[in-house]
Amino acid sequence: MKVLVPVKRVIDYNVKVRVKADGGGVDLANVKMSMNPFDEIAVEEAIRLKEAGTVSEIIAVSIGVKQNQETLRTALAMGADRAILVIAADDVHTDIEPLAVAKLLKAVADDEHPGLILLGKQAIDNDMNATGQMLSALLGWSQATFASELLIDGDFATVTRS
Amino acid sequence: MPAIVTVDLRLNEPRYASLPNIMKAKRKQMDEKTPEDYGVDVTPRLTITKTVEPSERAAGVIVADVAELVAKLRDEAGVL
Repeated sequence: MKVLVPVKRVIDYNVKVRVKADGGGVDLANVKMSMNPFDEIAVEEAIRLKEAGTVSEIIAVSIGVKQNQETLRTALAMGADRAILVIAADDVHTDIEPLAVAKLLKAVADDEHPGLILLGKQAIDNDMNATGQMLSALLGWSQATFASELLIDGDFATVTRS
Repeated sequence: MPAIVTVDLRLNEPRYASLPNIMKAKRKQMDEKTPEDYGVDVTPRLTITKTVEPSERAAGVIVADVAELVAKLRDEAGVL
């Protein structure tokens, strides 16, 4: 089974967030960026499923700017097998909205036919908590949100929330 | 299955990438695509009107006794 893990490049969780002087959003110039921590957990879970023999291939996907390459390299270094980068913006301040991200992820899923898509529950920059749910609706697949335990047995997944 | 699972903080503790794995990652396949390749329009539908920093927290006051606290809650805060 293939697993798709979408990852987002966000402002590092240790950075003190500053608003741009003109009030037009958060200043991201010369700021440390990292993989969204929830997405890191999703990558880790995918790797553990692969180590357990449940998963055969892990594909990391990122949607954003060219610099998202670094985020994907992090996922690859952790243990993902290959990566897909969708360059949807030139400016690092452009945030691609959850619906657009979900539509792109649906298109990637239609190409790759993964058996499971593991996402972080939300990104720590805009805290929208929407992409997974929207993607589930677009694909017409079952969804389980906020997993704190994941067990896969054949064609069934048991998810614990707590 | 197939299914979508979104993960919470308590699921696991992500590993750190080892140096050999970081070197290996450089040779792994990374395909670059554009939204047009998938026929998706990424034009924003939301408008952000403004972004402001949270206001500074005002300093508190120390009350001498319970009576004063109750008086302040009733007269100033209006919660009683």
